[in-house]
Amino acid sequence: MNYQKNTELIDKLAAEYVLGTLRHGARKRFEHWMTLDENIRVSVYQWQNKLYPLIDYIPLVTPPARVWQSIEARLFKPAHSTSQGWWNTLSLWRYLSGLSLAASALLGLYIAKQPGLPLQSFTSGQYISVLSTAQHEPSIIIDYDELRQQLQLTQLHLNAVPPQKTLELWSISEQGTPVSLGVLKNQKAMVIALHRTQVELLKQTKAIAISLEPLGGSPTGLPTGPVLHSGKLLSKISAPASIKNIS
Amino acid sequence: MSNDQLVQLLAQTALKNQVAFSELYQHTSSKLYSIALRHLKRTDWAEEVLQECFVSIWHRAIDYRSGSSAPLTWMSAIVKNRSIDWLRRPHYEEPDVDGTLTEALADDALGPLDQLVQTGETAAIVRCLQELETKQKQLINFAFFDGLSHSDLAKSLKIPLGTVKSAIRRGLIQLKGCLSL
Repeated sequence: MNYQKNTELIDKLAAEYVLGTLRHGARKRFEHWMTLDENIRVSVYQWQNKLYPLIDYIPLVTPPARVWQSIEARLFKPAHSTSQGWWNTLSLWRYLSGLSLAASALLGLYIAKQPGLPLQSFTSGQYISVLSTAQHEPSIIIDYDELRQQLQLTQLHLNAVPPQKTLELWSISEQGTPVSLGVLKNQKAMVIALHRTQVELLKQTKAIAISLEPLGGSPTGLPTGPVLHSGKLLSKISAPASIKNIS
Repeated sequence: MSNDQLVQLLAQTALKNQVAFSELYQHTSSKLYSIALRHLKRTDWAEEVLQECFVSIWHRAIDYRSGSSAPLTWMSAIVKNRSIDWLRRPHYEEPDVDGTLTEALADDALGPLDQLVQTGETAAIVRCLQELETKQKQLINFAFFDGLSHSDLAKSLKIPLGTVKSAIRRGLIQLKGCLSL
């Protein structure tokens, strides 16, 4: 069904979205369409502007002072670990810049030594990055499948994700700004489907990182947990480099 | 505080002005906290959601478009959406810890809307809501203010799910017609 062309359906979904009764997968899908289609956003704004004046009638309750203190501590206190994101630290960049060549070389050796590795799983698409752990060990290979517009991740070592946690993939720009590429649903299907804006984003991506986040992904839109894997983008999307050359 | 002043504070927040951000918090936190509290019915959860939302507002202020919605609408939507997400969490139990919600639902009360009627409020949305049937009014009210889903409403009001859905749908269509006049 083509939702984007169906004005009546858009209006119905926007109304239920704003009211709050559109739930679960439908709500998430609708939020995704909002990012892609201006008409859907306009419809949502119209309903918000109609219904939200009602909020004036909820009796006001003042939050305790500790809420502001926590916000300040989280955002501005220099001693706090999230006050300066890891993506801004110089050491990460020094580390990444030396890494890509080393990682490629190591990866070649690694694959040569591991005849059992399912090579086909990362030769289907266009190989774009090798991520490494903080201990500089190559850990994840990322393929870009242009046809399906998705990223395929292949783990070289299986690392269990703690319960109630999830892995989130980040694109990091030249300026060091992280933007989420999505959350890995589970460790068996390591695939991330990209929408159009993310494919564009990938073209300006300098590096890719994976952080450990609460279930459902970072609540703030920026990485909040430790970075488990990171690596430079080795080839531009437009200039393929095949894994076969390395292995 | 006027809309224009809030737009200014959001614009300054987008430029990472901490003073403007703290002023924005002072002027909007009570309203946003009451939205979260109304949805979650627990102060500790509402505090956590409020905190997350302000962290998010700090990072996302640059996305705010004054031509699309009022600043408070934009911020309220962030809180309402985050509260709805929270209601999906696995640790989430029941919203009605002290039974007030069941009580309110039982006697046809309209929650905050009761006060509107008493104060003779004339905002368009309120006038239009008054034109709906009592059941529709009640369903839309509890969905909007308390974040109840179709199935929550069906369970609490003991109405078949399909009836809840169609009543809300018809209510929204009627509201749309009334508000566009």
